[in-house]
Amino acid sequence: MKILGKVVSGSLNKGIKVVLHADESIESYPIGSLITIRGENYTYLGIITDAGITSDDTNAYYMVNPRISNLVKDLLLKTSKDVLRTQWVEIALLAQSSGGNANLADTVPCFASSLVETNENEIREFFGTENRLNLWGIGYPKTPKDILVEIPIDVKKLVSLSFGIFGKSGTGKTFLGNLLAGYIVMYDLVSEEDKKLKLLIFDMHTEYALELKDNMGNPIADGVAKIFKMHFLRYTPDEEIARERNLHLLKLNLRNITLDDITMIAPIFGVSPAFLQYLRGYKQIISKELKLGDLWVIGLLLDETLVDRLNNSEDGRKILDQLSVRLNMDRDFISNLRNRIYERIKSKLGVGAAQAFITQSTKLRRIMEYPFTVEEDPISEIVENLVKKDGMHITISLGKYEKEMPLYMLIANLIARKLREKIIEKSLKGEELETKIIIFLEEAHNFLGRETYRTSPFGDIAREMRKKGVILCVIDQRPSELDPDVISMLWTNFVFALTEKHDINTAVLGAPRSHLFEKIIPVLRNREVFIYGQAVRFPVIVKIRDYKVAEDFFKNESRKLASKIEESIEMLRKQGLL
Amino acid sequence: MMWVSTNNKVLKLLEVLQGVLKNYLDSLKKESVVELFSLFESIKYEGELINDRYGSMMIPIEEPREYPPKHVYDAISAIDYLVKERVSVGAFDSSYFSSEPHLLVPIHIISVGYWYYNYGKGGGGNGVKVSGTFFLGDGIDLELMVKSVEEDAIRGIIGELVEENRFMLFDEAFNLTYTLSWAVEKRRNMAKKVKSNLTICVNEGVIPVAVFHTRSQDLMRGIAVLANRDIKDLPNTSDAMFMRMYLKNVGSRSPLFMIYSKPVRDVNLDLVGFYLKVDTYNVVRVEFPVSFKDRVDMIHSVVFSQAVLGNGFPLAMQRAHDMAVITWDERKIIEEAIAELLRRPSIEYVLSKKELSKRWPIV
Amino acid sequence: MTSWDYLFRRKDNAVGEVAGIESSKIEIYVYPEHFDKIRIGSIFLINSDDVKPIGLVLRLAHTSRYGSFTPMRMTRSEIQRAYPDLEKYHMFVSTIIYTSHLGRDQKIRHFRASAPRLHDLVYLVNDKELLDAFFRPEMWDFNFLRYFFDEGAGVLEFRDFLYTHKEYFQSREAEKEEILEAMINSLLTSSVDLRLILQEIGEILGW
Repeated sequence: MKILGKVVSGSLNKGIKVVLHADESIESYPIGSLITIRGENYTYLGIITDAGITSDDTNAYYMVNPRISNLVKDLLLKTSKDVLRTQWVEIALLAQSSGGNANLADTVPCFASSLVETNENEIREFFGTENRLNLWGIGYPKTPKDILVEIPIDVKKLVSLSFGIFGKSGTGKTFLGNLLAGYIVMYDLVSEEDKKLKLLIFDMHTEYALELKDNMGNPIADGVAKIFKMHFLRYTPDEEIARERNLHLLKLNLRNITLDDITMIAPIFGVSPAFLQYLRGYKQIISKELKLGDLWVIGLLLDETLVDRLNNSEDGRKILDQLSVRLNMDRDFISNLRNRIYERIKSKLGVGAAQAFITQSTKLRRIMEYPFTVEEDPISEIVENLVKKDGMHITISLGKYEKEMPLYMLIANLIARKLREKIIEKSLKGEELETKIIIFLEEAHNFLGRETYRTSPFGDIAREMRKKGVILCVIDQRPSELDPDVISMLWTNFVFALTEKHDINTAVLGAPRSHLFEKIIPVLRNREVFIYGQAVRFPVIVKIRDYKVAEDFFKNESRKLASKIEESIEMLRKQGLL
Repeated sequence: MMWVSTNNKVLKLLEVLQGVLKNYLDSLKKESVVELFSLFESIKYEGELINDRYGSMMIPIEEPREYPPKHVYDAISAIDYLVKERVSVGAFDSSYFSSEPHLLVPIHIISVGYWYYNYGKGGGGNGVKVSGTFFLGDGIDLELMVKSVEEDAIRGIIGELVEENRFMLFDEAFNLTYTLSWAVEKRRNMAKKVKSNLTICVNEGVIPVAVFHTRSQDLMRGIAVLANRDIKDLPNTSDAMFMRMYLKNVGSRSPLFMIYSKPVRDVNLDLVGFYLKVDTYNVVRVEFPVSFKDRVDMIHSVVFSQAVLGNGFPLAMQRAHDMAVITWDERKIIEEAIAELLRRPSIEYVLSKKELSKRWPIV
Repeated sequence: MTSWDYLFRRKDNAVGEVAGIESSKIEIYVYPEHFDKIRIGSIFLINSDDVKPIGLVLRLAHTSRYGSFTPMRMTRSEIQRAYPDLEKYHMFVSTIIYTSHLGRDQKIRHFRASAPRLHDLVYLVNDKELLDAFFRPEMWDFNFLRYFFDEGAGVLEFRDFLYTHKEYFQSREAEKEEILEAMINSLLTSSVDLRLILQEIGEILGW
């Protein structure tokens, strides 16, 4: 066994310092690598958190002095490396093992313990082996010398509690999301748990439902929902994609939009605080006094232009018909509705409120550019699938609306509210959910940020619905903007590269001796992720397995399942049961 | 009872010194010195002179004037001269360790050092002849013994002098006037020995030359005799002091003198000599057998060359002295050896109490 | 007869003799006729009875034996003509640092063994074959430099050492890498400032 270095100092809290053997090259010890230290009683697993060289000024003088020939300099380096310089690495201890029992490290290796090459058996001993039941290989650990044994995550533990995926844009969050979603689907298929797992994926960039894309936007692999399309209902508000790619069209039912929804999205449109202040008053007037009822949102936004647009679509004409009935006026007069509302507001709430209504409400008209309905209720359909044992997994892909945060928030809020209502309804009946729902929420700070956490339905879900079987997969680039309550609920974290100090602090907060890992996060490369928490035995940095390989595996499994189902159907047919 | 002690011993010494010196210098009035020069230059020697007044004196046999150096002016010219004239120079000196009354055993160790060099061909050498004896005689007996050892050394050196012109320098006065106070027999023996040593040299073609410092007044006596004056009427000065003032230039010699000395006259040893100014303040007396009086110029040049090379005293004689001298440390070694041979624990057991008290006074 | 025996075969080959020993410093009285051959860094071997100590010259001194000095104002040749025995009155002393020894098996080892005795004859090692044996007993070995520096040699003495043996080292240019490597290995463990030493190597040997 080759000795690579020796422990010379350090502590559990500050890290262990190992001086490398003179013949070792510091360049072979990247930050984040997994290493092994052989102590007297334990074998320790650790991660390199820092590396450096120490030498005094004299040695620098040798190397730059023009009066010393290059030959002499080379020979000096060759013969006296250990005198000229000291190469060291700092290590955060993760785990210690003795007699096959591995635990979190709570001791330090003794002085002069040896740093040795980590071997595959040790990896298995510490982290376990993929069994394709609950343990699924997530990627290869980063080590000084390449090791080709994967670190498995425990999917069962992963889905028992909320988890987070953090990282800057382009670091691999979506790849990981698809991989984890795939493993959850597979786990659900092979496990014998009572409760089936149901995924609800808010797919902002349509990479779960269709294809994952490279930086140039070119598709490179199929998303998990496309691979397992038999098990997914794929929704999108984008009519074109829905038509061309055979996804379900998701229209906003305007009747379902609440005051809270408008309040939540209004800041995005730049609506003034004064307008929001009067919004409840506006609703009261429009909904009750002018009798628009649950179509009050239309009343808020309606003008001549909108009337013309409504006239151009079937759903729009239906809305106008309903308005006409409720207002008891001709459709032609509906264009005057705005004046009536204005006058009523002016008389009831004052000129200021009326002015605010006139000037600010136009900003919200963008909502009417989203696909809408007043009759269909795809949200309920979605929620039904999630709560039924034999329901499907759901993806909501924004398609061309991927930059439309208000639409995303509206849809997400509508679903979350509906889901919450459903769960409470069941709970009041004394019924438990038949499923465990895992919600993949991208740009989560919009729903779970410090200012929105308490008012957003996702906040309610996060706080109250865990025990009912609803957990969140919080995906975000700015974890520091999440409410601290949310962070504390995340029991497994996948952290890709981050650069902002506060984001890093927040992302690694739950890791043991988190301050030791803060140095590593900014230097993680693409597809390198720091994992800690329930789903993995010990904190570790892995390079996420190649998604193309996973894709092939998933497709293979999907095909096998499909053929099994066909066989079952055929059998039932033969038996006359179908 | 009080103890009375003198604390100003040095001051007293210096005070007396100043007084005596002043008196002496006062006695050398400039006028009298100038008169002496005139007197010296005016004297003439003609015919045989009978000296019955003094035990020794010197009479000029050359014109009384200064004889400046002809060939030698500095060390380079000295060497050039010696090489060109193909000169060999030898010298010896003696030293002895004597038991004195303060040593337990009456032993005497004699050390004769010698040095020689052949300036033409190159090559030289040095060494020491050591001899010893024990007796209960006096210092004069020891002096006579030394002469025997010197003879041994002379014989040893002579064979090594190979140039055309060979000289042997003696650090002693051939005139032996110092023996006038000795017993006649011992004086005679000494004179014989000296003559014998000179004869050895002469027979081998080596010119024996004595070079020494002296306080004698032989010249003054000679002047007194020739001028028919009483020496007390002349300035109270030694020959060397007179010559120091008379000879103006370093390297100059006095006229050649005939030396009248009773001890050597008794053994028919005829000597001549001159005074040589070797240094601004140093005058030496040079003596050699009369048979070499025609070689006076060469003797002058050779002795002065050696004096220049020796920084005021002939180099060969300095080197010979270095070889001869028994140093204080060597004396200690001899004493300790005596103690060891006599199986005494230390030299304290071989020295007299008086000697011990000198070395280690009671403190 | 080994090369070393050849060196010792005539006592006239001796350049001096041991005049004093104190710890690792050995005072050598150098015979006047050989004084001009000695340099800082020269290698002396002492022909003691058993193992033969070897050392490097650290210091050269030429003083008057009796402590006095007479200015001559003469050139060397003039002095030699005038005072052919002058050197007998001078002391030529060389201080060497004991760094190595020649064992009974005729092998050089770069560590100290037994001390020499007063008056043991001293020989200069400047023959190429003997220098080979000294610098490369089995492989290039410069551990003698550690003693040299430890006992007071500095950068300048090392510089002189290189100049003294420059011809030898340059004749071994083909092996300069091995030589440099061995030298560096030894110098790293010595007390000297390696920066300045390496500069000297470059400047003097051109390596």
